[in-house]
Amino acid sequence: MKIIIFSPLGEYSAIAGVTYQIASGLIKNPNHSVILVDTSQYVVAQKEIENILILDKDSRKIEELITDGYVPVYQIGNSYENHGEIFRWLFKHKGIMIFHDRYIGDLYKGYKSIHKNEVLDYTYGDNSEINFENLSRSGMLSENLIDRYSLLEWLSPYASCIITHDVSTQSKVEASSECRVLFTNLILNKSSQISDVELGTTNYENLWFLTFGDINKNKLVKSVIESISTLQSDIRQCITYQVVGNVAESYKEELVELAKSKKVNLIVTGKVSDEELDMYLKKSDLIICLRSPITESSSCSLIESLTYGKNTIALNKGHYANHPDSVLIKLNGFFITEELRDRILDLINNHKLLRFNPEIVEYADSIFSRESYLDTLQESYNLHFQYLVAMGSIEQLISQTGDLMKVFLQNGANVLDFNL
Amino acid sequence: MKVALVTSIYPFVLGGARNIVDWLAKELVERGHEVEVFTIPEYDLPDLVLLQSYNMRLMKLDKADKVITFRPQSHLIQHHNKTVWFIHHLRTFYDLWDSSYRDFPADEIHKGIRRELMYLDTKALAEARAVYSNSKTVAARLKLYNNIDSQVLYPPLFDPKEFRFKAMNNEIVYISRLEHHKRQHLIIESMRWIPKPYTLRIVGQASNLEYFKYLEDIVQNNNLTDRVLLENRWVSEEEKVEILSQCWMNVYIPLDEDSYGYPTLEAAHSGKATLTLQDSGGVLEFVVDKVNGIVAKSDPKDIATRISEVIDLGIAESLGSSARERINELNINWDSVIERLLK
Amino acid sequence: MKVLIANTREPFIFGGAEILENDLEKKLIELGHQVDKFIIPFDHSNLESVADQVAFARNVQIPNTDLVIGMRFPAYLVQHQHKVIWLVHQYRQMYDLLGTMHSPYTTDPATLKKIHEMVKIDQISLLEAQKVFTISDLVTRRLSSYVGIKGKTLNLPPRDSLLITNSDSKDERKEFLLLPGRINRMKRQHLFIEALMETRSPIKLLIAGKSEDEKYLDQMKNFVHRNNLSERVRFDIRFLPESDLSVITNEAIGVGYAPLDEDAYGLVTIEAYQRSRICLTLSDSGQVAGLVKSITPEFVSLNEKKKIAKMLDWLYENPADRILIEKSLSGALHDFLPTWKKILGELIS
Repeated sequence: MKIIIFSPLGEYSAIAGVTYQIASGLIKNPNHSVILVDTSQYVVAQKEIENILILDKDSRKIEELITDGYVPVYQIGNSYENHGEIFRWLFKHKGIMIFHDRYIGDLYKGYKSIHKNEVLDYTYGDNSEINFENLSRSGMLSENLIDRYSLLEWLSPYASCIITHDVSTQSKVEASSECRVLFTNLILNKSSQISDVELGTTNYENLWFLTFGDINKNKLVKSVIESISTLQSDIRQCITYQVVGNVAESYKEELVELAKSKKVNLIVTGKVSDEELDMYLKKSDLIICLRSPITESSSCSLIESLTYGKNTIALNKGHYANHPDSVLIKLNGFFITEELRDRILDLINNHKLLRFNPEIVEYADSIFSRESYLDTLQESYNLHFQYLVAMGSIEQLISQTGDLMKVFLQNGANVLDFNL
Repeated sequence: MKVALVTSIYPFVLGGARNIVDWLAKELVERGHEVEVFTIPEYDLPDLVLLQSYNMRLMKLDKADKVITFRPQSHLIQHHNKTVWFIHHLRTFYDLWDSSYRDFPADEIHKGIRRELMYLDTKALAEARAVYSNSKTVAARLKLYNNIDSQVLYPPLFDPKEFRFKAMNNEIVYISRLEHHKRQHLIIESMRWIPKPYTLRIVGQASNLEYFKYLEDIVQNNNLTDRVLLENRWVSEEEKVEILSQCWMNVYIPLDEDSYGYPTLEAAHSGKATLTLQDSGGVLEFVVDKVNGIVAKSDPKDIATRISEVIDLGIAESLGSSARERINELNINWDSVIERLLK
Repeated sequence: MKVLIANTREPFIFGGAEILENDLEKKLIELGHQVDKFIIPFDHSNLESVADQVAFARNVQIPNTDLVIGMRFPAYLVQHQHKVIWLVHQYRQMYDLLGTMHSPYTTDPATLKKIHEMVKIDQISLLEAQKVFTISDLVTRRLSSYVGIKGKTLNLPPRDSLLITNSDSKDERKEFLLLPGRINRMKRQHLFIEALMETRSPIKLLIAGKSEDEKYLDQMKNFVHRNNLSERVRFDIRFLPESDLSVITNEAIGVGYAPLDEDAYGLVTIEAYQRSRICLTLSDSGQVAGLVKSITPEFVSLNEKKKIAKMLDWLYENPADRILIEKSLSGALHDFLPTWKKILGELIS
């Protein structure tokens, strides 16, 4: 394969981690050639990996390589900050798209604010970028709205092949895309070597609960605090709830205020390095991984938790629902605070917590397999060329009839129904 | 029933699949069906393969109760009651991809064409009510490449009644196009060891004169001019019937052919056994060694030995009559064919 | 030369284009050419499927061929460097029949837009051809006014190797007028039945052909029954092979063929004359009337029952004169129509 991966490449981006994993996995085979291009607005601390060339987004070599037969692979996520630069090539050069998120309203907003586009105005309404911004900010973004306004259909027609990490995203995208849509589980965004030696056994007198990632409202940290606060004091006092990851100062203050008033032991750690996170993960007894609404199609945090063999709690929605009860504790989510409380009590009273559960690790290793991921990437690479030749032939077929097909299709006729 | 027969054609090249279609049409009409035959030219350039495959999807045959397709890519047609009588794949994209027959590069684009073609073929074949192949070899390829289970359906002769047993003279005959692929040279060579009074008659149109000259040389150099009659010309049906009705044994020894070939069937209808070789491919689906014919090694000396055996044992006539029985064993008749196609 | 004939079939409607196609093939082979055929179906029961079929014809790829002779829409749309059109059949539903009950298309702007695009492809395909011929002046005129293409008329020739049953014996004749050919409303067989009511002679009718319109056939049968004409009108409803047609034409005292505004001279008319039988027709029968007028103008009648009856009676009551006329028919036809030699000369020059 000859591919150029367009992706955020910064230290703190989970998708960057995944990209590096893909690249280093591929270059083990000398038949593959991989080039990376950073799509973030502000390039920060990129890793350097041997034998992997990173080209600057302004480099002319990118076009040359594409002309030369390199297939573009676009990592697509909701953050305009991380993915905004893809639009230099996305609409011009058909390639493989990997959808990391089910909802890309922020990406759309960023794009639309800069680019005038009548078709988008017609499809989503004038000033649609403002509407999407308001939607994201309002806290009104629900599962239903995400389903209806996912915006994936804005980009999917431009792909030659699409990879999704969530089966429901796959079926949704299939309806709006011309190309084939593949599914494969996301992988861990770093190399992992876990051994249970350092992890120790659970101390029910001193429990560590952990939530990590980008700390914002949709992680439901406040609900967790509320939940812990409803436990009887002797149990509550044994629990320390640690929150790790990028957090806005104002929100941090709110959380600390709330915890203090509820008499919950809270530690807000903020942004940490990979090594530090590794340490906190190993030390924790329970990972709380709630999201509402679920805008991603797969969660790097979840993958990490399961790869470390940790007890993890999530909502029984979206991609979380795909995992069996034996490896993931799932809440129905109607009364989160109460449900969470009941589950925590159950885990503690019945001594169900294990710092390292080999069953969970085995599951994670088999499901979040880098080998599978690379196989799927190879399949999408083959499908890319299939798409090009198929579309080329169909376009040729249509072009021989002048505007006939266009006029018929415009009037809603059912022509060119290849059923293939 | 209103039956539409659809096949692709390479214009001005007749025989093979074209015969099957025309003969089937006549047989269907005789049995009271309404038949339409559609012939679509197909250009075998690799870069036009997908265009033509997609194009076939646009054909409309709703008025037909049944559609039967033959040569590729006719099986791509959309119809609720489609039966495929699969003749062959576009082999340079399938089993001949890794051979010298592929005259285009295996670059990503052509690999893409290959995969897309396989995807289209597989999907189109899966739509069919039934898929029949004209030999076990083709059936095996369908299974391997397209995961399609097919039944073998052998094409009968159009008018088998013409062919009959009249007598057995001393002539070994090989009536077929003169081509290297058909290996007439092997049987000529073997005449060096085949005892008198047996003679060899080789007749057919040479597709290239070089091969014909090569055969002539073999005859000359081995002093076989009085034992071998070698003619480069087209043979009429009447003449073929006459020759086969009187001959001693039929020879059909192509290299790795897909199906058993009409010559084998014509000889069997005439009550004559066929000699073939171990690597002749589909011919071995009809000819069973020592039961209804001879399967020799592809070596002139072995051919001669096996023929001598038959002479010594005096079994040519009984092998020939078993060959005739083989036709029924394999259900090579129009009633059986039509019954299965229209199911 | 390797000549590919490109023709269309309306599935399971045996039309007659096949006859001309087969004759053309035979004549080309006689001249030493190799002939093969590109035959596609045309099902025009709904507009959308027409678009796909147009696209299909346009995208067929043709190898190994020196010349393509296109005869009918949409087969002649196929692309080839060397293409000659001998237009037997246009897609009239989008031209002169548009807006009538014979066309399935409405005339709203959206549909007209679609038709416009198909017309464009029709034009392009015809312009691509080295030469464009049509089988009658009417088709040439239509081609010019609706499609803007200048074609040259090359009429249907007499049938080659037509089976003709000859007998000089008067006893072989049975006293009926033969109405051969497809049975449908446009062919108007019923006009002759209605005319029988006004005849004074006991002339009979034999309607022999394949029915394409059961309702129409039933209406005729009912009329016969209601008006006690069962002794005089016989129906032989099936596709008649040439041998059968030859025999019954020989037995007939004439042939009746009065389709509405027919495109071309008509195989029925031509075959009748080749078999030395007088053809009765009507003045509004288009090109058929044109041919009959040129050979025997007295047998073109106005579309009025009494006048038709008069013709029928004449046939019955004047056997001697009739036979005299019959003797001249075949010769006159051959003089009037082009020979195959001329036709091939034009098509393949």
